[in-house]
Amino acid sequence: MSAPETQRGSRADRLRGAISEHYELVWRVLRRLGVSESLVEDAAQQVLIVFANRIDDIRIGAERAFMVATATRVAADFRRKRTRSREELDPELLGALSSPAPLADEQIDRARARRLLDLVLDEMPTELRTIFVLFELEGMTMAAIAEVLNLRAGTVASRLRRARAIFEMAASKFSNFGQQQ
Amino acid sequence: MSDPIPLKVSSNRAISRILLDAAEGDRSAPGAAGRALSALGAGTGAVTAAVGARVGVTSSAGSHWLSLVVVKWLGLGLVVGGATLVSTEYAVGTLSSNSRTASSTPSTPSASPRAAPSAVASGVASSWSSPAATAVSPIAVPPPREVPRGSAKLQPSESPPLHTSQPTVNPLEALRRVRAELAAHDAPGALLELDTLERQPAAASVAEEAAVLRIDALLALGRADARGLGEKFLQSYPRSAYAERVRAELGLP
Repeated sequence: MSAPETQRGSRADRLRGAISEHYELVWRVLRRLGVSESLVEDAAQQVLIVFANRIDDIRIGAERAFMVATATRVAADFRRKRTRSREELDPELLGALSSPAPLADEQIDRARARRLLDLVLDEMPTELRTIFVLFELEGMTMAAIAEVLNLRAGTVASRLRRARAIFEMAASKFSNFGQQQ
Repeated sequence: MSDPIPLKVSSNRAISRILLDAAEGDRSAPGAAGRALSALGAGTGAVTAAVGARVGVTSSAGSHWLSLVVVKWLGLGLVVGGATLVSTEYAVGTLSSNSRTASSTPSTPSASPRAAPSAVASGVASSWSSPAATAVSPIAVPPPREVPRGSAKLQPSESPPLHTSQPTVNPLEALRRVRAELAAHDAPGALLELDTLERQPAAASVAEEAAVLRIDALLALGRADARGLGEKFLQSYPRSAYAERVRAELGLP
Protein backbone atom coordinates (compact mmCIF):
# COMPACT_ATOMS: atom_id res chain seq x y z
CA MET A 1 0.00 0.00 0.00
CA SER A 2 1.42 3.40 -0.96
CA ALA A 3 2.00 6.16 1.57
CA PRO A 4 -0.94 8.31 0.43
CA GLU A 5 -3.22 5.28 0.60
CA THR A 6 -2.03 4.52 4.10
CA GLN A 7 -2.64 8.12 5.08
CA ARG A 8 -6.13 8.03 3.60
CA GLY A 9 -6.82 4.79 5.43
CA SER A 10 -5.70 6.10 8.78
CA ARG A 11 -7.66 9.30 8.23
CA ALA A 12 -10.80 7.30 7.51
CA ASP A 13 -10.17 5.16 10.59
CA ARG A 14 -9.76 8.26 12.70
CA LEU A 15 -12.94 9.76 11.28
CA ARG A 16 -14.88 6.59 11.95
CA GLY A 17 -13.47 6.34 15.47
CA ALA A 18 -14.24 9.95 16.31
CA ILE A 19 -17.77 9.75 14.96
CA SER A 20 -18.61 6.52 16.71
CA GLU A 21 -17.21 7.87 19.95
CA HIS A 22 -18.51 11.43 19.89
CA TYR A 23 -21.57 11.52 17.62
CA GLU A 24 -23.97 11.18 20.51
CA LEU A 25 -22.27 14.02 22.38
CA VAL A 26 -22.44 16.25 19.30
CA TRP A 27 -26.11 15.41 18.85
CA ARG A 28 -26.93 16.21 22.47
CA VAL A 29 -25.00 19.46 22.51
CA LEU A 30 -26.74 20.64 19.34
CA ARG A 31 -30.14 19.66 20.67
CA ARG A 32 -29.55 21.32 24.02
CA LEU A 33 -28.23 24.45 22.39
CA GLY A 34 -31.55 24.96 20.68
CA VAL A 35 -31.48 23.05 17.40
CA SER A 36 -34.92 21.51 16.98
CA GLU A 37 -35.09 17.75 16.99
CA SER A 38 -35.99 17.57 13.32
CA LEU A 39 -32.85 19.51 12.37
CA VAL A 40 -30.32 18.04 14.73
CA GLU A 41 -29.18 15.34 12.34
CA ASP A 42 -28.51 17.94 9.65
CA ALA A 43 -26.65 20.12 12.10
CA ALA A 44 -24.60 17.15 13.30
CA GLN A 45 -23.71 16.42 9.71
CA GLN A 46 -22.37 19.95 9.36
CA VAL A 47 -20.21 19.44 12.43
CA LEU A 48 -18.85 16.21 11.02
CA ILE A 49 -18.10 17.80 7.67
CA VAL A 50 -16.09 20.52 9.36
CA PHE A 51 -14.32 17.85 11.39
CA ALA A 52 -13.58 15.77 8.30
CA ASN A 53 -12.24 18.77 6.43
CA ARG A 54 -9.98 19.77 9.30
CA ILE A 55 -9.00 16.34 10.49
CA ASP A 56 -5.34 16.77 9.63
CA ASP A 57 -5.15 19.93 11.71
CA ILE A 58 -6.74 18.41 14.80
CA ARG A 59 -4.38 17.12 17.43
CA ILE A 60 -4.80 13.48 18.35
CA GLY A 61 -6.88 13.41 21.50
CA ALA A 62 -8.48 16.79 20.81
CA GLU A 63 -11.30 15.39 18.68
CA ARG A 64 -13.92 15.71 21.39
CA ALA A 65 -13.06 19.31 22.17
CA PHE A 66 -13.01 20.22 18.49
CA MET A 67 -16.41 18.65 17.89
CA VAL A 68 -17.98 20.36 20.90
CA ALA A 69 -16.58 23.73 19.90
CA THR A 70 -17.79 23.26 16.33
CA ALA A 71 -21.20 22.13 17.56
CA THR A 72 -21.60 25.33 19.57
CA ARG A 73 -20.94 27.40 16.46
CA VAL A 74 -23.20 25.34 14.23
CA ALA A 75 -25.97 25.50 16.84
CA ALA A 76 -25.63 29.27 16.99
CA ASP A 77 -26.00 29.41 13.18
CA PHE A 78 -29.12 27.27 13.31
CA ARG A 79 -30.57 29.40 16.09
CA ARG A 80 -29.91 32.59 14.15
CA LYS A 81 -31.65 31.17 11.10
CA ARG A 82 -34.60 30.15 13.20
CA THR A 83 -34.82 33.59 14.78
CA ARG A 84 -34.60 35.28 11.39
CA SER A 85 -37.21 33.19 9.69
CA ARG A 86 -39.62 32.47 12.45
CA GLU A 87 -41.78 35.13 13.92
CA GLU A 88 -44.04 33.01 16.01
CA LEU A 89 -43.34 30.42 18.65
CA ASP A 90 -43.24 26.82 17.68
CA PRO A 91 -46.85 25.62 18.20
CA GLU A 92 -45.57 22.69 20.20
CA LEU A 93 -43.71 24.99 22.54
CA LEU A 94 -46.66 27.30 22.71
CA GLY A 95 -48.79 24.33 23.75
CA ALA A 96 -46.39 23.45 26.50
CA LEU A 97 -46.36 27.03 27.69
CA SER A 98 -50.08 27.64 27.68
CA SER A 99 -51.38 24.28 28.79
CA PRO A 100 -53.86 24.92 31.58
CA ALA A 101 -53.28 21.60 33.27
CA PRO A 102 -50.60 21.68 35.92
CA LEU A 103 -48.99 18.33 36.51
CA ALA A 104 -48.14 16.67 39.76
CA ASP A 105 -44.50 15.99 40.45
CA GLU A 106 -44.84 12.29 39.97
CA GLN A 107 -46.97 12.76 36.86
CA ILE A 108 -44.72 15.16 35.06
CA ASP A 109 -44.67 14.13 31.51
CA ARG A 110 -41.05 13.94 30.51
CA ALA A 111 -41.63 15.09 26.98
CA ARG A 112 -43.54 18.12 28.16
CA ALA A 113 -40.86 18.94 30.69
CA ARG A 114 -38.31 18.66 27.90
CA ARG A 115 -40.19 21.21 25.84
CA LEU A 116 -40.37 23.49 28.83
CA LEU A 117 -36.64 23.12 29.25
CA ASP A 118 -36.21 24.39 25.70
CA LEU A 119 -38.33 27.41 26.55
CA VAL A 120 -36.31 28.16 29.64
CA LEU A 121 -33.00 27.75 27.85
CA ASP A 122 -34.26 30.01 25.09
CA GLU A 123 -34.35 32.81 27.64
CA MET A 124 -30.57 32.80 27.77
CA PRO A 125 -28.25 34.58 25.40
CA THR A 126 -26.27 32.08 23.35
CA GLU A 127 -22.98 32.64 25.16
CA LEU A 128 -24.57 31.93 28.53
CA ARG A 129 -26.61 29.00 27.28
CA THR A 130 -23.52 27.32 25.89
CA ILE A 131 -21.74 27.44 29.23
CA PHE A 132 -24.86 26.35 31.09
CA VAL A 133 -25.48 23.38 28.81
CA LEU A 134 -21.90 22.17 28.88
CA PHE A 135 -21.67 22.44 32.66
CA GLU A 136 -25.15 21.53 33.89
CA LEU A 137 -26.25 19.06 31.23
CA GLU A 138 -23.05 17.66 29.78
CA GLY A 139 -21.22 17.57 33.10
CA MET A 140 -18.08 19.24 31.80
CA THR A 141 -15.85 21.00 34.29
CA MET A 142 -15.41 24.74 34.06
CA ALA A 143 -11.74 24.21 33.21
CA ALA A 144 -12.67 21.93 30.31
CA ILE A 145 -15.27 24.42 29.09
CA ALA A 146 -12.73 27.20 29.21
CA GLU A 147 -10.35 25.15 27.12
CA VAL A 148 -12.94 24.06 24.56
CA LEU A 149 -14.36 27.55 24.10
CA ASN A 150 -11.02 29.28 24.43
CA LEU A 151 -12.24 31.46 27.29
CA ARG A 152 -10.67 32.55 30.53
CA ALA A 153 -11.69 30.61 33.60
CA GLY A 154 -13.14 33.71 35.20
CA THR A 155 -15.29 34.36 32.15
CA VAL A 156 -16.70 30.85 32.30
CA ALA A 157 -17.44 31.20 36.01
CA SER A 158 -19.21 34.54 35.65
CA ARG A 159 -21.23 33.38 32.65
CA LEU A 160 -22.26 30.26 34.50
CA ARG A 161 -23.45 32.34 37.46
CA ARG A 162 -25.51 34.58 35.19
CA ALA A 163 -26.88 31.62 33.26
CA ARG A 164 -27.93 29.88 36.45
CA ALA A 165 -29.72 32.97 37.68
CA ILE A 166 -31.62 33.26 34.40
CA PHE A 167 -32.44 29.56 34.45
CA GLU A 168 -33.81 29.63 37.98
CA MET A 169 -35.87 32.71 37.27
CA ALA A 170 -37.25 31.38 33.99
CA ALA A 171 -37.95 27.95 35.46
CA SER A 172 -39.86 29.50 38.34
CA LYS A 173 -42.48 30.71 35.85
CA PHE A 174 -43.42 27.08 35.43
CA SER A 175 -43.28 26.10 39.05
CA ASN A 176 -46.99 25.34 39.05
CA PHE A 177 -46.24 22.43 36.73
CA GLY A 178 -44.52 20.72 39.58
CA GLN A 179 -47.35 21.07 42.09
CA GLN A 180 -50.52 19.20 42.78
CA GLN A 181 -53.57 20.83 41.28
CA MET B 1 -11.23 27.41 40.52
CA SER B 2 -13.64 25.00 42.18
CA ASP B 3 -16.73 24.04 40.30
CA PRO B 4 -20.14 24.66 41.86
CA ILE B 5 -22.46 21.75 42.56
CA PRO B 6 -24.70 21.16 39.56
CA LEU B 7 -28.17 22.65 39.83
CA LYS B 8 -29.73 19.27 39.26
CA VAL B 9 -28.52 18.42 42.72
CA SER B 10 -28.27 21.74 44.46
CA SER B 11 -31.30 23.74 43.28
CA ASN B 12 -33.98 24.43 45.86
CA ARG B 13 -36.60 24.57 43.16
CA ALA B 14 -38.23 21.29 42.21
CA ILE B 15 -39.09 22.63 38.76
CA SER B 16 -35.42 23.33 38.05
CA ARG B 17 -34.46 19.79 38.91
CA ILE B 18 -37.37 18.38 36.91
CA LEU B 19 -36.49 20.38 33.81
CA LEU B 20 -32.82 19.47 34.00
CA ASP B 21 -33.71 15.81 34.48
CA ALA B 22 -35.89 15.96 31.38
CA ALA B 23 -32.78 16.39 29.25
CA GLU B 24 -31.60 12.95 30.29
CA GLY B 25 -33.62 11.44 27.49
CA ASP B 26 -31.81 13.38 24.76
CA ARG B 27 -30.38 10.91 22.32
CA SER B 28 -30.15 10.55 18.59
CA ALA B 29 -32.31 8.26 16.52
CA PRO B 30 -31.04 4.72 16.11
CA GLY B 31 -28.55 4.47 13.28
CA ALA B 32 -27.92 8.20 13.05
CA ALA B 33 -24.17 7.85 13.50
CA GLY B 34 -24.03 5.17 10.82
CA ARG B 35 -25.93 7.38 8.41
CA ALA B 36 -23.60 10.24 9.16
CA LEU B 37 -20.60 8.03 8.48
CA SER B 38 -22.06 6.83 5.22
CA ALA B 39 -22.89 10.34 4.09
CA LEU B 40 -19.27 11.25 4.64
CA GLY B 41 -18.16 8.24 2.62
CA ALA B 42 -16.40 6.86 5.66
CA GLY B 43 -18.82 4.15 6.57
CA THR B 44 -17.95 0.54 6.83
CA GLY B 45 -18.43 -1.49 3.69
CA ALA B 46 -21.67 -2.87 4.99
CA VAL B 47 -23.04 0.50 5.96
CA THR B 48 -21.99 2.07 2.69
CA ALA B 49 -23.54 -0.74 0.71
CA ALA B 50 -26.78 -0.47 2.65
CA VAL B 51 -27.06 3.23 2.02
CA GLY B 52 -25.99 2.77 -1.57
CA ALA B 53 -28.79 0.30 -2.06
CA ARG B 54 -31.28 2.73 -0.58
CA VAL B 55 -30.30 5.53 -2.89
CA GLY B 56 -29.77 3.40 -5.91
CA VAL B 57 -26.04 3.87 -5.78
CA THR B 58 -23.68 1.00 -5.90
CA SER B 59 -20.22 1.97 -4.97
CA SER B 60 -16.86 0.41 -5.25
CA ALA B 61 -14.47 1.46 -2.51
CA GLY B 62 -17.33 3.62 -1.34
CA SER B 63 -17.11 6.18 -4.09
CA HIS B 64 -17.23 4.85 -7.65
CA TRP B 65 -20.13 4.05 -9.91
CA LEU B 66 -19.74 0.65 -11.44
CA SER B 67 -22.00 1.00 -14.39
CA LEU B 68 -25.17 2.64 -15.49
CA VAL B 69 -28.43 1.43 -16.87
CA VAL B 70 -30.53 4.04 -18.53
CA VAL B 71 -34.22 3.86 -18.00
CA LYS B 72 -36.30 6.18 -20.08
CA TRP B 73 -39.84 7.13 -19.43
CA LEU B 74 -41.09 9.09 -22.37
CA GLY B 75 -44.46 10.70 -22.44
CA LEU B 76 -45.46 8.99 -19.28
CA GLY B 77 -47.83 11.00 -17.19
CA LEU B 78 -47.75 10.22 -13.53
CA VAL B 79 -49.59 12.13 -10.89
CA VAL B 80 -47.27 12.21 -7.95
CA GLY B 81 -48.20 14.21 -4.91
CA GLY B 82 -50.25 16.58 -6.99
CA ALA B 83 -47.52 17.12 -9.51
CA THR B 84 -47.42 15.64 -12.96
CA LEU B 85 -44.31 14.06 -14.12
CA VAL B 86 -44.28 14.38 -17.87
CA SER B 87 -41.00 12.86 -18.63
CA THR B 88 -37.84 12.01 -16.93
CA GLU B 89 -34.96 9.73 -17.18
CA TYR B 90 -32.67 8.44 -14.65
CA ALA B 91 -29.90 6.03 -14.20
CA VAL B 92 -29.49 3.42 -11.59
CA GLY B 93 -26.58 1.36 -10.53
CA THR B 94 -26.95 -2.06 -12.08
CA LEU B 95 -26.25 -3.93 -8.91
CA SER B 96 -28.78 -1.96 -6.93
CA SER B 97 -31.60 -1.83 -9.39
CA ASN B 98 -33.57 -4.39 -7.43
CA SER B 99 -33.21 -2.41 -4.26
CA ARG B 100 -34.54 0.65 -5.98
CA THR B 101 -37.80 -1.03 -6.81
CA ALA B 102 -38.37 -1.53 -3.14
CA SER B 103 -37.78 2.09 -2.24
CA SER B 104 -40.50 4.24 -0.81
CA THR B 105 -43.35 5.73 -2.76
CA PRO B 106 -43.50 9.50 -3.15
CA SER B 107 -46.14 9.79 -0.46
CA THR B 108 -43.97 7.96 2.00
CA PRO B 109 -41.67 10.22 3.92
CA SER B 110 -38.00 9.35 4.00
CA ALA B 111 -37.09 7.31 7.01
CA SER B 112 -34.43 9.85 7.84
CA PRO B 113 -33.26 13.17 6.50
CA ARG B 114 -30.46 11.35 4.80
CA ALA B 115 -32.57 8.64 3.22
CA ALA B 116 -33.02 9.21 -0.45
CA PRO B 117 -36.36 9.78 -2.12
CA SER B 118 -37.76 7.42 -4.65
CA ALA B 119 -36.77 7.84 -8.24
CA VAL B 120 -40.24 9.05 -9.16
CA ALA B 121 -40.27 11.73 -6.52
CA SER B 122 -36.79 12.74 -7.56
CA GLY B 123 -37.99 13.11 -11.09
CA VAL B 124 -40.64 15.52 -9.95
CA ALA B 125 -38.07 17.52 -8.09
CA SER B 126 -35.76 17.72 -11.03
CA SER B 127 -38.54 19.09 -13.18
CA TRP B 128 -38.90 22.12 -10.95
CA SER B 129 -35.47 22.55 -9.50
CA SER B 130 -33.73 22.79 -12.82
CA PRO B 131 -35.17 26.13 -13.88
CA ALA B 132 -34.24 27.58 -10.55
CA ALA B 133 -30.69 26.50 -11.08
CA THR B 134 -30.29 28.82 -14.01
CA ALA B 135 -32.33 31.63 -12.61
CA VAL B 136 -30.59 31.48 -9.32
CA SER B 137 -26.96 30.71 -9.68
CA PRO B 138 -24.90 33.85 -9.49
CA ILE B 139 -22.13 32.09 -11.34
CA ALA B 140 -22.45 31.74 -15.08
CA VAL B 141 -22.81 28.10 -15.90
CA PRO B 142 -23.38 27.11 -19.50
CA PRO B 143 -26.67 25.26 -19.58
CA PRO B 144 -26.81 21.84 -21.12
CA ARG B 145 -27.70 22.33 -24.78
CA GLU B 146 -30.41 19.67 -24.80
CA VAL B 147 -32.62 21.03 -22.08
CA PRO B 148 -33.73 24.61 -21.75
CA ARG B 149 -33.33 25.08 -18.04
CA GLY B 150 -36.11 27.62 -17.95
CA SER B 151 -38.55 24.91 -18.85
CA ALA B 152 -40.85 23.94 -16.05
CA LYS B 153 -41.26 20.42 -17.31
CA LEU B 154 -39.19 18.22 -19.46
CA GLN B 155 -40.89 17.39 -22.73
CA PRO B 156 -40.38 13.95 -24.18
CA SER B 157 -38.44 15.23 -27.14
CA GLU B 158 -36.27 17.29 -24.88
CA SER B 159 -35.11 14.52 -22.63
CA PRO B 160 -31.40 14.98 -22.31
CA PRO B 161 -29.26 12.07 -23.28
CA LEU B 162 -26.82 10.77 -20.78
CA HIS B 163 -23.45 12.39 -21.04
CA THR B 164 -21.53 9.20 -20.87
CA SER B 165 -18.38 10.97 -21.94
CA GLN B 166 -18.54 13.19 -18.88
CA PRO B 167 -17.12 11.91 -15.64
CA THR B 168 -19.90 10.69 -13.40
CA VAL B 169 -20.36 12.37 -10.06
CA ASN B 170 -21.02 10.44 -6.91
CA PRO B 171 -24.13 12.26 -5.69
CA LEU B 172 -23.32 11.71 -2.03
CA GLU B 173 -19.88 13.15 -2.54
CA ALA B 174 -21.40 16.09 -4.37
CA LEU B 175 -23.83 16.73 -1.52
CA ARG B 176 -20.97 16.55 0.94
CA ARG B 177 -19.15 19.23 -1.04
CA VAL B 178 -22.26 21.39 -1.16
CA ARG B 179 -22.67 21.14 2.61
CA ALA B 180 -19.02 21.97 3.09
CA GLU B 181 -19.36 25.02 0.89
CA LEU B 182 -22.42 26.17 2.78
CA ALA B 183 -20.61 25.62 6.07
CA ALA B 184 -17.78 27.73 4.72
CA HIS B 185 -20.29 30.44 3.77
CA ASP B 186 -19.62 29.84 0.08
CA ALA B 187 -23.21 29.83 -1.16
CA PRO B 188 -22.28 30.66 -4.78
CA GLY B 189 -19.91 27.70 -4.81
CA ALA B 190 -22.65 25.51 -3.38
CA LEU B 191 -25.04 26.58 -6.14
CA LEU B 192 -22.46 25.83 -8.79
CA GLU B 193 -21.90 22.41 -7.29
CA LEU B 194 -25.65 21.78 -7.27
CA ASP B 195 -25.92 22.86 -10.90
CA THR B 196 -23.21 20.40 -11.81
CA LEU B 197 -24.85 17.65 -9.81
CA GLU B 198 -28.23 18.22 -11.40
CA ARG B 199 -26.81 17.62 -14.86
CA GLN B 200 -25.90 14.13 -13.80
CA PRO B 201 -28.32 11.27 -14.30
CA ALA B 202 -27.66 10.15 -10.75
CA ALA B 203 -28.98 13.46 -9.43
CA ALA B 204 -32.46 11.99 -9.31
CA SER B 205 -31.48 9.81 -6.41
CA VAL B 206 -30.68 12.80 -4.21
CA ALA B 207 -33.05 15.37 -5.67
CA GLU B 208 -34.89 15.96 -2.40
CA GLU B 209 -31.75 16.71 -0.42
CA ALA B 210 -30.28 18.74 -3.26
CA ALA B 211 -33.41 20.89 -3.36
CA VAL B 212 -33.16 21.58 0.36
CA LEU B 213 -29.51 22.55 0.03
CA ARG B 214 -30.37 24.84 -2.87
CA ILE B 215 -32.92 26.57 -0.67
CA ASP B 216 -30.25 26.92 2.03
CA ALA B 217 -27.85 28.44 -0.47
CA LEU B 218 -30.43 30.90 -1.74
CA LEU B 219 -31.30 31.89 1.80
CA ALA B 220 -27.65 32.41 2.57
CA LEU B 221 -27.50 34.79 -0.38
CA GLY B 222 -30.64 36.56 0.77
CA ARG B 223 -32.39 35.61 -2.44
CA ALA B 224 -36.13 36.18 -2.46
CA ASP B 225 -36.69 33.24 -4.81
CA ALA B 226 -35.79 30.88 -1.97
CA ARG B 227 -39.36 31.19 -0.78
CA GLY B 228 -40.88 30.14 -4.11
CA LEU B 229 -38.55 27.20 -4.30
CA GLY B 230 -39.45 26.27 -0.75
CA GLU B 231 -43.15 26.38 -1.53
CA LYS B 232 -42.62 24.14 -4.54
CA PHE B 233 -40.58 21.79 -2.43
CA LEU B 234 -43.37 21.51 0.13
CA GLN B 235 -45.90 20.86 -2.63
CA SER B 236 -43.78 18.10 -4.09
CA TYR B 237 -42.67 16.60 -0.78
CA PRO B 238 -45.38 17.45 1.73
CA ARG B 239 -44.26 14.68 4.04
CA SER B 240 -40.57 15.10 3.60
CA ALA B 241 -38.33 14.77 6.63
CA TYR B 242 -37.05 18.20 5.59
CA ALA B 243 -40.48 19.81 5.40
CA GLU B 244 -40.42 21.26 8.89
CA ARG B 245 -36.94 22.58 8.36
CA VAL B 246 -37.91 24.28 5.10
CA ARG B 247 -40.98 25.82 6.69
CA ALA B 248 -38.94 27.03 9.65
CA GLU B 249 -36.22 28.53 7.51
CA LEU B 250 -38.66 30.34 5.26
CA GLY B 251 -41.21 31.20 7.89
CA LEU B 252 -43.89 29.33 6.01
CA PRO B 253 -46.99 28.09 7.79
